[in-house]
Amino acid sequence: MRRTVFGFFWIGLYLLVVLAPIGLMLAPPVPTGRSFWVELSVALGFVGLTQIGIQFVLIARFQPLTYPYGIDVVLKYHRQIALVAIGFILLHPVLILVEHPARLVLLNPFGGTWASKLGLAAVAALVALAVTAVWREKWKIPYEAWRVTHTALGVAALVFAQAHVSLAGLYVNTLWKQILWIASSLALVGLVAYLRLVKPWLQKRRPWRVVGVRDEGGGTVDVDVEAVGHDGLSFEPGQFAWVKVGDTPFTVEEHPYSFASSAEEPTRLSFGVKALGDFSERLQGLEEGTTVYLDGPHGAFSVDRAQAPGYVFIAGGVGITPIMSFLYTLADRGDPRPLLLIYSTNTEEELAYSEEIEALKERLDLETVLVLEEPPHDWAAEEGRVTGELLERRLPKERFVRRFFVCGPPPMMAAVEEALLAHGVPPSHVHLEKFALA
Amino acid sequence: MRHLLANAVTYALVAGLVLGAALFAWARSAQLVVATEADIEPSRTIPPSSVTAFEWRAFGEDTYLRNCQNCHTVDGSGRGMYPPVQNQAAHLRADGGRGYLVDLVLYGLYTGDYGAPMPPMPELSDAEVAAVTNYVLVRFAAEGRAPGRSRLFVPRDVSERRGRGLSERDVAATRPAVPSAEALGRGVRVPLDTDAPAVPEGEDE
Repeated sequence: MRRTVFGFFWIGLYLLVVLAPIGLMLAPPVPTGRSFWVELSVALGFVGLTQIGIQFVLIARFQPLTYPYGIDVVLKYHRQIALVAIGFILLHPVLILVEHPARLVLLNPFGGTWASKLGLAAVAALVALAVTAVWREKWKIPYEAWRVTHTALGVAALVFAQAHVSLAGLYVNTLWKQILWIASSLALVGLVAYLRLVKPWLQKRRPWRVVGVRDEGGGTVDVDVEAVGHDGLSFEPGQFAWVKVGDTPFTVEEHPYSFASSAEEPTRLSFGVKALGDFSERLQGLEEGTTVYLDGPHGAFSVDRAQAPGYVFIAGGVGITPIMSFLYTLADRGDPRPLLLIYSTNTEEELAYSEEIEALKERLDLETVLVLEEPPHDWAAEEGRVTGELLERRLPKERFVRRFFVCGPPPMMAAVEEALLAHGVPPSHVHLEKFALA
Repeated sequence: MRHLLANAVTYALVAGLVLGAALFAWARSAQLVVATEADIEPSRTIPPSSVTAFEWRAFGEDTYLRNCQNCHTVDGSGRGMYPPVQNQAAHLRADGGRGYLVDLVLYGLYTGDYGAPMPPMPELSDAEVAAVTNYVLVRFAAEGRAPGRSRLFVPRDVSERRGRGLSERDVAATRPAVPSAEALGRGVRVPLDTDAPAVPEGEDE
């Protein structure tokens, strides 16, 4: 209920804030109304700028904001609306030029006025932002370097755009209007300082210590951490946190990992880590006693958000880690509901947590189906991938009332989701976390 | 499911923003909001050929503040790429100067001397154009060289120059042989503390 209220509240507030500058433009003294296209151009410019400003708020990981929707949805919106905002901002000069073609001279960065030069600089920064973000993976830009550049370009775009508004703004024609705009821009840039300086400084009060690194099979290890001098972190099973390794939280290097342990133990947590890159390899080789810092919990992928008479968990590869959190938590709670786990990997060697899963069968009503793409000769269980045909055979009869949690590589999740929907599972019963971070 | 909803909400939000911007643009261009007839057309009881100095002055000052001041500044001295508008009475003495002063407000101006073209402002009413031109001529005049009443503009002077479809460069070509705006404004100091009453003392409103 609270989630729904907050969910509507933030959307309403967003609309209000983004349209507020248009309202502000009606506060006297008001210039004589110009043609429709010129006024539309100005309105789009203001709305686009405010959207860019709010982008800073969206990526700040504010839990009250992200919790109704799930942070993956908020970050996806950040990416989608960025392109819309840039579209609005590009339309701003185009519409003016349609009405006043002589102003084409303002597109010359060496001519024009300071207002037009700064406007061009802001647009250049925004286009660079979009291009480096959309093509980051294809051009293999390293993530940390990209993130720092992204922040810098974002701040530059905002500062240039604010200067443009202050100098050009026919509508920003009184001292109090100028102060309002400049103060808002300063606050947003200040948010970056908060995220990079204040938040890590606060993290320093809540350190964690590595107390074990256990091999779970399948190239996966469990990194166990313990809270040092604080009451830990309460999370819902299936959530994740960003992990920083080392004595100082003032680092750009942090990566998200799902909690693999029970939510009933907030002071002793585990992350399931598969060596997929530099950082995860480093994590697997961590020594006991190393300090880590956590930013979390985040995520909407949780059984606690979806009450049902039973669950089906479909895991692919390293997607098993949040599922383990589900299983441990439900076992600790003595949950009697029927559970089906469909766990799919390429080979038998890649299966992780085999012993733990067997042990959990004693504490839960848990049925497991293992699916290997390339099984060994004597493999008795399923072969291939999780397809509609497999689901048809293996799903319990009451498949329409159970809730489905799917976690794995994006193509696998997409295929499984499609198969589930094709077999009559209602869309509201299928839960995924669509993460496109690193 | 969450993601389906999220996509739907995103589209709805974008549609809402576009709608909001379009509504605003329509309201402003139709002069619907804030501007009442009195704001842009002074009382119809003033016959178009007479110029009652103080009421027109306040009206001209208000028009200048809302439409011109952010570029040409409060004392008409301009800034950066925006020229000064002081001592413009020189144009009144030149051939074609009177028409030029009205044309540059209606059709804009681009001489290339300054980085930004003066935008055309055909949305200003005849009364606004006349009043603001008078204001600029009188308020930002050089010491002792303000034009007399008989040489100021009335709305009819403006309406007869509309509809010519001139471009900013066309207007620049008709600029009379008069020193540049910067030269005209050199040395002019406009006192900023005059507080002209809206109604002359001793007269009824």
